[in-house]
Amino acid sequence: MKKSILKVVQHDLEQDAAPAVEVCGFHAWHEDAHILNDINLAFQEYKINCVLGPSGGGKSTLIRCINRINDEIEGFTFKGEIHFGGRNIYDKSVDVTRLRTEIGMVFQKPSVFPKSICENVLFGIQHLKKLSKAARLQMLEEKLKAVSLWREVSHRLNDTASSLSVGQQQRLCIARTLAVEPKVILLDEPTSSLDPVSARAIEDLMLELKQQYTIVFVTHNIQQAKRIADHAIFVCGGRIIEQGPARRFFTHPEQPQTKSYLNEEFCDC
Amino acid sequence: MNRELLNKCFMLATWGAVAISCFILLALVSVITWNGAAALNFSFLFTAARRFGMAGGILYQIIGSLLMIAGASLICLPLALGTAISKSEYLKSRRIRKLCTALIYGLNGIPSVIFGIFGLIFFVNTLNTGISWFVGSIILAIMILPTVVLATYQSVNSIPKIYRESALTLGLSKWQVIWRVVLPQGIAGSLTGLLLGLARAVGETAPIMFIATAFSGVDIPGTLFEPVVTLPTHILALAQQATAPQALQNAWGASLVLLSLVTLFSVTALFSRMKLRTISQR
Repeated sequence: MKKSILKVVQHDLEQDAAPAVEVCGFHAWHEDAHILNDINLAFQEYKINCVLGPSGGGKSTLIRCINRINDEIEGFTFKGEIHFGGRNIYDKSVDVTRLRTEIGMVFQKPSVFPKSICENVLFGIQHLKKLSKAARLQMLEEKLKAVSLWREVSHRLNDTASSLSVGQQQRLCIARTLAVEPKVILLDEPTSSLDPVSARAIEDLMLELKQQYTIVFVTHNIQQAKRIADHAIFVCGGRIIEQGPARRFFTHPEQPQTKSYLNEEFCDC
Repeated sequence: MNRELLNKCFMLATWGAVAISCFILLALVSVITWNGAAALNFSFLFTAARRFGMAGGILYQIIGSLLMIAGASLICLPLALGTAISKSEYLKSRRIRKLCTALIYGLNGIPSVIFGIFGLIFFVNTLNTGISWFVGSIILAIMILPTVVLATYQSVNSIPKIYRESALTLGLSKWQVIWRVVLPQGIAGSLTGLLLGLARAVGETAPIMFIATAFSGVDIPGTLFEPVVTLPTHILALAQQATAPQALQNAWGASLVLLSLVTLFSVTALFSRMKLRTISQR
C-alpha cells in the first residue's frame, strides 16, 4: 500500500514539472507531405526530454519547429501554436533571431566553422554582446570546461577546429551553443555520427547540463533514451503515439505501437 | 566490320580530333611567339608608340588595357557578389531562380559587338559621355558579369546548408550569416570567375572600339571620360596597315604581349580554382 502511494506521488511529481515549451495542435507540411499531424506535448524544464521514434517519423521536423529554423525551408507550412516563455513563438511580434538565442540547437553532424577552436566557441556570442578580452577568455574556459573539452584543447585554442576528432567537434558545437546562454537546448541525434565512447561522453554531458538547461534530445537509439531520459515522447508517422515520464514509459508503455517499438524496434504506424 | 576494328577506328578518330585541336593551338601560339619575339624588347614594352604605331612601343596600350579591366573588375565584382548571394540566399521561388539563371545565360550569349553598339547609343550618344575608357570598363563589366556570377553562385551554393543553419541557431541574423559564412566563400569563387572573365575581356575589341579607344595620340587618361589606347584595338589598327613591314612586326609584338596577359589570367584562375575548397573541406 505504502509503496504504491509513493509511486503515485512520484509519478505526479514527474508529471507536474513545469513545462518550458508547449506545443499545441501543431501540424506541419513540406509541400504536399503532411509531416506532423496534430502534435500536443510539453517539454519539461530542467529535464532531458527524449523524442524517440523511427527515422522519417517527423522527430527532426518537430524540434526544428521549436527554434523556427524550418522557416528557412522552401515549401514549409504549418498550423498551430508553440508556447515558450509565455507566448506563441510563431506570433508576428516575435524576434526570431532573439528566439534562437534562447532556444539553441545542435545538429546531427558536427559543423564546426573553418576557424580556430577559440573563434568557434565565441562565434555566436560575439555578435550578441561586446566582450572584453578577459571576459572572452573566461567564457572560453567556462564553456569548454562545461563540455569537458578544456583539458584536451586548452593548450591549442588557436588550432583550427577541424583538427579535432569528430566527437570533440560535436562537443565544441555544444560549447558554442552554451556560450549563447540559451534556456533550452535542442539536440537532433547528436551522437548518431559518433563512436560509442564519444556518444557516451555526450550522454554524460547531458546529465550534467540538465541542472541548468532544458534539454530536448532526439534519438532513434532506444538504449540511449533509456539511459538518459526523464521524459519520453514517442513520435511515429508524424503523430505522437505516447508520452510520459521515462520510467513508466519504458517499463509500462500503454500503446501497442510503443510496446512493439521498444521490444522489436519496429513500429507499424 | 567486326567489333574490335570498329573500336580501334573510333579510338583513332577521337585521338585525331585531339591532335588537330592541339595542333591548331600550338601552331597559333608558336607563330605568334616566333614573329612576336622578334619585335619584343625593353624599349618596345616601355616606350610610347610613334608614327601611328609604326615606330616606338606599346607602353600606353598596355596601361590602357590594364586600366580598363581594372575598372571592369571594380564594377563587376560587387554586382556579381550581390546577384549570386541574392539568388542563393533570398530567392525562395524556384521559378524565379530558374528565370534568373536563364537571364544570366542569355546575357552571356549576346555577341560582343552588340554591347559595343549599346554603349555607343546609350552612354556616348544619349548620356553624352564622349569616348571614355570608363564607359568601356562598364561595358566590359556587363559582358563578363555572367561568368563571374555563375562562378560565385557555384561556390556559394556549395556551402552545405548545415553551416547556415548552425550560424542561425547561434543567434546570427540573416545578414550576419551572409557576412560571416557565405561571403568569405563567395569572394573566393568570384575571384576565380573574375580572372576567367578578365582573360576574355582583355582581348575584346568589338565592344570597346567605338566607345572607349582612340587609335593613337593618347597617353594616360586624367579623368574618367577620356579615351585610351588598348592592345586589341592597336593590333587591329596596325594590321590594317599591313603593307608596312614595321607595322606588321609591331602587331605581332603586341599580339604576343596580349596573349601573355590572357595566359597569365587563365593560369592564375586555374590555380585559384584548384585551391578553392568548400567550407566543409577546410
